[in-house]
Amino acid sequence: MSVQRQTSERAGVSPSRASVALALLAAVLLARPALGQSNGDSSSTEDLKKLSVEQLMNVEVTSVSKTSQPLGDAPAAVYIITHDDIVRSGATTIPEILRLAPNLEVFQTSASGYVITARGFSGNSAAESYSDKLLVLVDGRSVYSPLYSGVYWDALDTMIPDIERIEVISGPGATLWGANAMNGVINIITRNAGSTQGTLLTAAGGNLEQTASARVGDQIDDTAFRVYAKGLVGDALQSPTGGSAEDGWSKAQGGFRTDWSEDADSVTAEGDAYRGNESVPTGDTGISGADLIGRWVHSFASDSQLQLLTYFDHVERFNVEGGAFVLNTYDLELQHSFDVLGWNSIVWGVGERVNDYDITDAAGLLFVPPHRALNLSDIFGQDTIALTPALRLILGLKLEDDPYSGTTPLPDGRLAWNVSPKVLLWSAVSRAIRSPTPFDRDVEEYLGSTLFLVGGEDFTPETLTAYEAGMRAQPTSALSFSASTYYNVYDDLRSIEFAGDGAILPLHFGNGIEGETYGVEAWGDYQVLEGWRLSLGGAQEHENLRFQPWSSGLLGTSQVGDDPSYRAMLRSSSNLTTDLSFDATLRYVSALPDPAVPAYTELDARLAWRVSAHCDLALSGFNLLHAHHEEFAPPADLIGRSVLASVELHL
Amino acid sequence: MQRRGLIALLVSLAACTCCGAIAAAPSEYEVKAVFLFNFSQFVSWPPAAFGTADAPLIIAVLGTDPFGHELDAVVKGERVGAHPLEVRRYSDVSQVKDCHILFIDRSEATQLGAIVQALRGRSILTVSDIDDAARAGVMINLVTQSDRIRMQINVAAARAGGLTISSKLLRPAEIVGPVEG
Repeated sequence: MSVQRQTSERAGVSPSRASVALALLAAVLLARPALGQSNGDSSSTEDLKKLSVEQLMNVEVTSVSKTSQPLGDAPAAVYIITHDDIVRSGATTIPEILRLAPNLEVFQTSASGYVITARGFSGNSAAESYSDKLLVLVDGRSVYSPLYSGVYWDALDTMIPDIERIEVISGPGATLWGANAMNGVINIITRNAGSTQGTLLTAAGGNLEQTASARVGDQIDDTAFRVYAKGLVGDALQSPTGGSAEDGWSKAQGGFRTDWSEDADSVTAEGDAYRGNESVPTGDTGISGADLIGRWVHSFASDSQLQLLTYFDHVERFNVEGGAFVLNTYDLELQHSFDVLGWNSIVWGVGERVNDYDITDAAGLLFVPPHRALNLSDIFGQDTIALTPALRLILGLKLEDDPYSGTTPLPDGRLAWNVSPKVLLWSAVSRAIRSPTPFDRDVEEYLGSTLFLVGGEDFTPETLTAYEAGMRAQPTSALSFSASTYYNVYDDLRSIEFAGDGAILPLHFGNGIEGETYGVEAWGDYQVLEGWRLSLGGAQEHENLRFQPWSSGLLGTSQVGDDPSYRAMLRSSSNLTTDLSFDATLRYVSALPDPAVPAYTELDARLAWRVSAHCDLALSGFNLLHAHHEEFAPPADLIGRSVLASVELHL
Repeated sequence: MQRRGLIALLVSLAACTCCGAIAAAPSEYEVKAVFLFNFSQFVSWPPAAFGTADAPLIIAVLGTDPFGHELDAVVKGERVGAHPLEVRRYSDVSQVKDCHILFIDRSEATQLGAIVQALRGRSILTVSDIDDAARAGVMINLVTQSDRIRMQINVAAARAGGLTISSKLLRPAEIVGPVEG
């Protein structure tokens, strides 16, 4: 009887299911060398001494050190999301992980869509204005789209457990990073292949998403490598008008990283490829892309280092209703740092980037010309001068040449004062721009046969002069905090203007908005007990924008963004026992002014059980307080409560 | 369908892997002591760093000793070539004379900048587990993450001290230094 049932079940295994099982079995067998080094029972010192360095790094230790916010001494508003923070959050996508940074605004708008910005300017899609003042890098590769300066967050992913840390800098970083590093920089840094050895299998399933991933890391002679593959299925969210938004999506991605180092040189090569499909009410959207990065770092005998970075990035996006683009980016950057006279530490570099794109017009939306190769060149230098052992002056300048606005100087001056070993005060004055894009300059939008909107032929860069000050302190070993304040003066922000000479149409983009924003960002960690940490973070922002006298005043100044005045979060991270951890994050976002969106408070929580050195189980809940809440104005979806059960196997 | 099948398979795999014996994990500083021992094997000092051909290779701890007896137990009876290993303890950086590996304890976190400055250019492999120590100029930082210990190596600082670090250490480490990104 039971034998019979088993047989009939076996017959039900589909070929594809069997091939997945086979692939997993292969992965497990590949992991055989790692299995042999089972670490749990090698607790005697002699056994530990027999392990290789790689194996030693995989040994699980009992006492958990405090992994609070590293203080660092960078004179800027930097928040670091550590590897442990990422794991403990239970988040499976990069935008959800970025909710951990108190200095970012994160709004989910659809199953796959997000608006993310720092210090305001979330944009307004009804005014064709998109969040476009943030630079995002993955291992040095820029991932914001040069077509409109924004980020396609649905296309950005990697093997999440292999992320080393994410640095979130609010405020301009143009001198080092270039144009678009206007309101902030997000730096996603993945782990060295040597520290992701062995096999990792993860799977998670819940009411709104299902994901699975596999990574295998190994080494051949002096070269360490890893390969990964992952798949994600996201279910549709709820439409603001009720019912399903029918915007479910799925995506598959794979990639690799290899690292080699010897003595003074290290070489890294890495790459990814992905393909996804998104349902949208106006027809499905297909996304695909691939990238390849090469990096060589050489350390000279003195405190001097040379880095050469090059990458290729290919992005494609198409809508079945028409409208598509293909973008190829080629980038080469050289950076050199050295000390002079013991009190000057200099970094300088040059870079060259080509963005080659081809746009297939959507109905009513044309780019003229549809094909261009944009050439972006830059040269920069920065000197950190130790005026006294406690006082540093940092002066930097980048000259960036972009095809639309010519050469733009991006200067930056900072002062850092270590008042005591536990307190750092800093201040900065800097200038940044958002340079024109094909969307600003080349677009032609038709309503029926009427030419309605054109790009601004004279559209010039949006500019920012930023004044910042901040402090970081660690008064006791259990308490650390950081606070920063800013006063940003914006000019030439994008507006929509009339045709001129008495004519209304076609409308065109102009530089008619100016104004100031100011605010405060603060966060801190308090280690209450050995295994319990509380983190508090928050931001306040005020925008005071106006049209220049000659501007049309169309659509109001709220077109640049619909930003909350206050945000706050409280996070508790605790190790209940050595094997059981519990994390909870409460976040509050105040009401959005125009269009109005009510304030909300939400709760995420995660309970994780380390069953053995090889196995972790976790149950996570997101947005637990309400069945649905609104984060951004319609047509953005309502965001629903979700739960996720996950398993992670280290083999 | 295929996806649910995959998840079911992974969960069943978990069930058999998870029931493996759970042995007591070693303590954090026991493992860190073994790291220090490994450093003595995989770092080359210039010949001038040793007074005589059979002079001891000295591993020292600066500040409060977090190792207890673990470090002594690890190096007992060990040698590198003709150099026997020896452990010393210092309470102040001014006492640091002829050691080869110096572990800077967290009790010294507030003086880290001054310690790095005082040892600059000397052939002493500096090691610490203070937050961000490698970026502050310490040669090797031992970082605990997800209950595992990882290395950050500041190659430029090591080379400034005339030390050569083997690729066996560099390969699994995160290389940090003055270059951004």
